[in-house]
Amino acid sequence: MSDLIYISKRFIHLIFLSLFISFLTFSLMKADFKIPKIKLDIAFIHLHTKEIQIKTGDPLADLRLNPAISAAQIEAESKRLGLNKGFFYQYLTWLSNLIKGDLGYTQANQKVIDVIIPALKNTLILNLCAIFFSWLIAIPLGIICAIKQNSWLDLSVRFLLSSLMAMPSFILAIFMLLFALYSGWFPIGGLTSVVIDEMNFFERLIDITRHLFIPVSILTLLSIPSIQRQMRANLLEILDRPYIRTALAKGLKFDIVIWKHALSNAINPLITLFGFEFAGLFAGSALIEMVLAYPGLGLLTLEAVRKQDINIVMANLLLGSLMLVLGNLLADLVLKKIDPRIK
Amino acid sequence: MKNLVFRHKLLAFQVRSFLYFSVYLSLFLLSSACSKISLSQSLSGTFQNAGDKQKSQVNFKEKLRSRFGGTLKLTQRGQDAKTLNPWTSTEATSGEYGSLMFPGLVKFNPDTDKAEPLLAESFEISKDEKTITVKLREKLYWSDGQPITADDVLFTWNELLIQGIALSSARDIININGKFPEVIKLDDKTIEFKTSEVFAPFLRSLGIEIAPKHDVERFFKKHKAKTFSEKQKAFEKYLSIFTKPEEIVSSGPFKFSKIQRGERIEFIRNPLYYDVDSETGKRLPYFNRLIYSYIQDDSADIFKFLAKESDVLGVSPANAALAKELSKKYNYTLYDLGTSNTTNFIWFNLSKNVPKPQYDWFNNLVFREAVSLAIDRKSIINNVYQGLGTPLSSALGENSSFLNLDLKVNKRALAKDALKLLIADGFRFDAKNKILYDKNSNRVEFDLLSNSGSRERELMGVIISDNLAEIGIKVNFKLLEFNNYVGRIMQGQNYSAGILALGGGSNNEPNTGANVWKSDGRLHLFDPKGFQKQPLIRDWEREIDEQFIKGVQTLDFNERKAIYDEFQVTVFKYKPLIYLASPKTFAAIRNDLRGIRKTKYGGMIPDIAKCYRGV
Repeated sequence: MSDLIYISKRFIHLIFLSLFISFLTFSLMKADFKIPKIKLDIAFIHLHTKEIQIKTGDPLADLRLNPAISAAQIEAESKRLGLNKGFFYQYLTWLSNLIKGDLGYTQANQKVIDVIIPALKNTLILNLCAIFFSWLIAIPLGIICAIKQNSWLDLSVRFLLSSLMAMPSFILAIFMLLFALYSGWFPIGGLTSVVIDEMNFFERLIDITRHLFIPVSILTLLSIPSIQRQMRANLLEILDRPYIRTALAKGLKFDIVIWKHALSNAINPLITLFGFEFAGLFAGSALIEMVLAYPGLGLLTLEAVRKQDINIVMANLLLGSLMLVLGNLLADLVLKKIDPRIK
Repeated sequence: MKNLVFRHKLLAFQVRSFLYFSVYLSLFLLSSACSKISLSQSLSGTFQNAGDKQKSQVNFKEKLRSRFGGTLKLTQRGQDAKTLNPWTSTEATSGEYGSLMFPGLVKFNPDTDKAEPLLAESFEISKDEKTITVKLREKLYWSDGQPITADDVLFTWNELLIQGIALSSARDIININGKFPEVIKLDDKTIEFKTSEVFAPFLRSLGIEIAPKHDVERFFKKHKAKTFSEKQKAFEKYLSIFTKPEEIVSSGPFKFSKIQRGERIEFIRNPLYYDVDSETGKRLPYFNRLIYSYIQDDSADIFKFLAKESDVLGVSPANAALAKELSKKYNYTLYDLGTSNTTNFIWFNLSKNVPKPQYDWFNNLVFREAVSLAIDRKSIINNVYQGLGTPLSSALGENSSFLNLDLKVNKRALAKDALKLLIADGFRFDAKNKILYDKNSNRVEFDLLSNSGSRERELMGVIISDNLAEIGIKVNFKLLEFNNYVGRIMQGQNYSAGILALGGGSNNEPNTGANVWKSDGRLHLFDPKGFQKQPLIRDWEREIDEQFIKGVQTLDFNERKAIYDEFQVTVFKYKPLIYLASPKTFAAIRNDLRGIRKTKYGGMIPDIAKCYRGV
């Protein structure tokens, strides 16, 4: 019961959070005001600034710069997007449509929901795979390295992961693309082959796996170091504690000490980390999506921000805040299950 | 010292393009051919002439093999197509898909730019140049088997365009001084177009895509659109990318078959396309399937091409040397497509919104001339385009047939001549500190804007700032985000000068520049009049207005050329836009592709229906 109240409280919190975030973003994307000149001469303070204009871009810039587009067309477009109305009118229209469950239309006159859903699915597949594999590899690797501290294994893993950590993601992406090009084992970019429609279920599965291999391995490689290091450090800290020594001295089996006593205490910070990673599910892979031509949400959002396609940006933002709250909630609930000290 | 600073700035910009650099570096390391070559030297004269190559390769074996079948794989910059409806689309890529499915009545020969019949069998221009009679081909069908008749043409012109069901940019083009042409059906296959006065670009309008009347009307019925405004609203959704492929009707070589969201768009051959293979008499196109994959990033484009997942790769001058080197190993040929039609320029804001000393400098012709003289176009070409570019003298694209060849802009910076001009006009030059003052002892200084994200313009801005520093002008080069930049320059407020490029496209019609050059034009960048109460129209602006009006009143090429020559002289003389340089463009094409070649006006693919894969 207390869990339920806790969850519903979190969701009420979410509503206010989303309102605040949406208003902030809306104002940032539509900002148009002037900071007046400042001329301050008090005692030894002399502050002189020029007038500063804060103005975000014009959503119709591409059309305006195209000599073939007529003024009437631009007028019609600005009317359709509601750009001729005031800021508050625009925001309230968006909000009331949202309450009705309508996310609005994109600049290209498509329903936002139709544009976002396919991209959302693709990004979800990519990031879930990446999270699954990175945790599957990083956690055991962290445990082994902590137990065998300063062994050759620990040292080489440390060296390897430090170099991975230092590598910018796009460089790794390009190395992986080179690998795909020279081996010929994996396709370059995309998520499906051209002949996908003529395949049966298993062939499709293999095809998608082949396409996913490169982006997933890049994201996995990039997130392994931080998780592994966290796991290793936490476990090392716990292994130094007196109660572990006591347990060992009592003659308990080493494996049981590690699994039962050490690990359950060392895992807490990682669960919090997991909560945050959950929030990044939809947005964390924009750069990789761009370099690999992956049809995901990060790319869509990036492009929308650049083109000031506000309805897409807002929808995405709501998703992001929802995921953040959900992720934290999930982490809290799991923590509560694992650690009886937390209430 | 100056040189050092300049290099430092250049370096800073190159760090930004580290991403691309790393691709090239790694490719260089891994490619087996690692010999060093000097860029522009080894490139000149080594590109294949497309025609020769193809002749030698069409051998006996290939003649036996059927040309039909296979897939043509192309890449497309950007994201999903917005719509397949060519009558309402506002961007080039969606328009391209539309014209693939709906050819117009005439097309323009990619080599000579003469009009040739397409859906039309023939067309005839009357003596007074005001009436064009078009006769449609016999046996012309939509992909669903319905015949294409004069009714379809009438529907497209009268209802969609002239009445305005389609809110299209084409409406502006066919509207001649406020009057739309009369389109009359003479019989089932013959249509007459009558314009109220002679309008040279009108012939080009006959290239407008013809819509399937029966299908659009079915669509209206389905959406219960009866009144004009309902139809207008419904038509915006006609041929959206969510349309089921079975419901799509095409008259072109290909027909939309599938869209894989965010990845690619696929077309399938239209079995009822009118054109036939000259040997077998079978209907074209040769290819069964045509695929455009969306690409957002240069490196992805290169990798996709090298991995044989695309057949054609556009190559910028920066990559040309590398692309040439890899061509043997990856079995493709690099073609030199000549100078691009994109014109880069710097301009000053001449409008009354500019504050006082700057307004006087910018509106002083001597000042603009001096700036043009001080710019080192050769250095721009060397640094931005790796030596593979052309300095621009004219407002028209470098490969326009209307280009005035007599105009010659300075290639190298002529700082001394520029200073002479300025000093004669009352400016004062402090040679010791390299500072230029005007008559009233104001230091000459202005902000130069451009948009971030265009490496070309970023480099140009740095070079220009450096060139102008030589004659004592201080330039503060600033980069803005693209949409922000455009918003600012469109209103002619809050900026002094900018760098921009306008694409000429492949359209060899000078009148497309009317929006920029006519003083009431929507894109009259240097002094937009729309926002001013009592706009000042300069004498030379009036001159250009007249030239643009006269230029469309005759169909005779030589007469038109003379008028547009004059226009180019006017722009060259008064320099409202100071032109810089254009890059050469290259394309890499797989060796087994046939029917793809360099054309003067039509890009790489003269007729997509006639492309096929050889051996």
